[in-house]
Amino acid sequence: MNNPVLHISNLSKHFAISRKGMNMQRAEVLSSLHLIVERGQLNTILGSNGAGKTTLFNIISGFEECRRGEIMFYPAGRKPVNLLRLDASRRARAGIGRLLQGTSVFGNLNVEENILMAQKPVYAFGNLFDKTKHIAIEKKKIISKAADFLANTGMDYAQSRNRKAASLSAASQRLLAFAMLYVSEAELLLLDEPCSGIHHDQLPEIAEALRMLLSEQKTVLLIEHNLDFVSMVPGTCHYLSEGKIRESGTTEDIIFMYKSEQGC
Amino acid sequence: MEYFVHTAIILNIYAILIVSAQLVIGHAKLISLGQGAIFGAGAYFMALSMIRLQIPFVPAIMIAIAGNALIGLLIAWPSARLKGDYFVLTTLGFQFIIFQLTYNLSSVTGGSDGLGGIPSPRWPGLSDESQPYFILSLSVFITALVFMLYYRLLRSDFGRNIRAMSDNELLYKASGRSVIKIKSQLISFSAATTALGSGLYAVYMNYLDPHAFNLDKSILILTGVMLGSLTRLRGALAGALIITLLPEVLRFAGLPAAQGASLRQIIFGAVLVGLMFFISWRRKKQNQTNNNE
Amino acid sequence: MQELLIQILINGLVSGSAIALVALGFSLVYHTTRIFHITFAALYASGGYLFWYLSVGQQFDLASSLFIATLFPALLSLFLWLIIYKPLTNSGAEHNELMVASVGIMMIIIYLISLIMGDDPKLPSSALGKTLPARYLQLIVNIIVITVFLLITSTTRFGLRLRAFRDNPRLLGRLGINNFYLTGILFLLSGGIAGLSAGLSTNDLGISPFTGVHVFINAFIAVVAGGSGRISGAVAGGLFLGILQSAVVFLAGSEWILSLSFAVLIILMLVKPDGLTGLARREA
Repeated sequence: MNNPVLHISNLSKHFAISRKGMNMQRAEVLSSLHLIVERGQLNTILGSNGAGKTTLFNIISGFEECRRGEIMFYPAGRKPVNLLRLDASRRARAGIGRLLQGTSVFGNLNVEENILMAQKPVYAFGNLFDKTKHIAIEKKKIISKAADFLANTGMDYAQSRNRKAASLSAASQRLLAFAMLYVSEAELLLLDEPCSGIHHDQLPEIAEALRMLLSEQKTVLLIEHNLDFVSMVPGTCHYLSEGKIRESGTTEDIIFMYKSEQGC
Repeated sequence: MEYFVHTAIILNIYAILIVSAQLVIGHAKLISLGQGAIFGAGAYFMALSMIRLQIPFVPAIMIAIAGNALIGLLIAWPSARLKGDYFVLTTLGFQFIIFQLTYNLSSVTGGSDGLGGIPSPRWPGLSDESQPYFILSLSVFITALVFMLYYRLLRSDFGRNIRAMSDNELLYKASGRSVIKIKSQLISFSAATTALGSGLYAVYMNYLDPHAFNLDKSILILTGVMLGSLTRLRGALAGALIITLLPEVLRFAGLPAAQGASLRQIIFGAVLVGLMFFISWRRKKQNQTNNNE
Repeated sequence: MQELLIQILINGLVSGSAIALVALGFSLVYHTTRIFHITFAALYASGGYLFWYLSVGQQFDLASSLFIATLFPALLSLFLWLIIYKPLTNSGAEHNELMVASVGIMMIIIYLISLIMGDDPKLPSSALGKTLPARYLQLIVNIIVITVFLLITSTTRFGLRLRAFRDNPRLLGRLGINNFYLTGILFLLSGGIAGLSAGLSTNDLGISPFTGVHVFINAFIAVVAGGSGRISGAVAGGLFLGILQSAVVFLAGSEWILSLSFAVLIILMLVKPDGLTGLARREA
């Protein structure tokens, strides 16, 4: 049990909320946060609204700047890196995947194109004439892998491949986003509320999709408000409050603690 | 007949300008007010290398393409880092800077007198009367080439990446791609293909006037893109057809020449405003029918 | 030498305060509605031409010419908001569509002006030599208007609403404060500032159809230079740009003003990207 994929230490972040004269008023969002994420496991973060969960994800992904603290990422078989030194797209290429809150697919692209966006980027005008053989083979592989994934979660790829992602139902869009993470080379996945906007009956499908990600040896960091869902996928759980990880433990324990703190 | 050939050549040039602008304005959703200046820069690159350096047509057009690609990078460099409004500002400012350069550096560009004596490419053994037809065939050939290039491009990974980036920049970054990089590439590519239109224009007109590449031209190109289609290649052709023919129609309608230029711009302005109303009205209606289903 | 420096400084203050005033007018609309309101450039031109027509063509006195040249763009601005921006926003137009519509209106107004007035530059009545009073008048009025605005936005209830509107227009609507009147007033004020500034500048230097666009570009750069969308920032940016420009006009000639402004913009992007992204993120 000592094989971390992510080691966050001393991470602090504040926003300037208003300025009156020379006094800057600050709101601390994260204050010297420490978190170790073990490889290949599911780590759920619970915390009330505004506790800084999404801010934490945004800092790990590089969408929000943070200069205080350190986030060490240990990719399998490669040298560890301090993520804070890289920009957002480099972090993604280093192996950080992200499911955005709400829409996490390209709405104007069809299902097939969305899946291809999970492929490692090819530069030099992105293979303008599609002539490079190994890239074409790679594409086929990725698509068939994604099709299998979607089939397992109850979505027919062949039927929907030419449909625009925006025209899919919320649940299908979410599954497609999972499929993109599944076929990508990302090792650590940050899932920001995968169940928001999803009907209660469809939670098992999302849970199944999440289990498949774990079965691919991917590490998952999850933010979710829906406690029914969180109890469906047990793992390590962390309670984030006042900008710190207050407690870590089993999902059951932390849910119990979270509920008693929320007073319900 | 001569009139027909002239109109056809201009149509081809506009088609190249519009399909190039479509990549930036339509696919990448970056509103550009500097397409006229990019067109002009290419034309001056072309003319200067043919006149001052005595270079023949094909290598000269290569120089124009390379020069414009660099200019595209120059425009993209500050603005690709920031959101849309800065791109409009940069292109608008670039529009005036290019005009100031071509107008004020008169020892190089001829200034307000213009730059004359640009040689036309000639096919060996072809008579003077056939020369316009040769230029027409050349422009049809180059236009077809440009459209084929864009056809491939938009179906390639590059095209998909552009659409994905303009759809959702955050997700695009999260997929490991650099927004700055793709914006720079596409703006530069669009400027480079614009240079083909510039080259044709320079050798067909044999003369460049800084006023031919002012803000009006940029807005004309913008109108062409908006009128035709933001994403379809066929639309680019339709847009080129409208902006080529509309002035001709106005001329036949008997507008006095002195006011004609201003009136034309007023009409294009009104067309832009009307189009925006139409587009948002149509989308609203579509959304309503979708919700009713 | 010393006189020269003072001259450069005074010229810089005059043009800087003019840029700052225009930047303030533009930022009133831009930072609250997020519309890339390039029509502002045409409103400026309309004010300038109206002033010229009244003071030079019709021999009106300075005060009434200025008053009418301020009033007309203000009303035009309000009118355009009512018949163009508002219906477009109501039918769900996107940012780019509003921008293109704004470009369209700008073209219509600028070319209507050039159709009616001709497109040659119009010189002020006392065009023989730079008249000092016109410069000083411009400087004084600019400073007064800017100061009054800064005081209003930082101390009054209206200013508070304005800042709240800038930060979160929807929330303000939910609090029961009427966005309709507030936005209307903003467009009115913004147009008025465009006209006033154009009138003062025309009195000093004259006007041509695209002067407004040049001024607009400078103002936008000033807004960017000031950073983060505060009105006082736009004012500081304008003064900075103006003084720099007057130095460059003296050293290299007035043809290169815009190129200089852009050099400033690019250097700013390198030196203080935070100020810029602060503004850029707001749009997202």
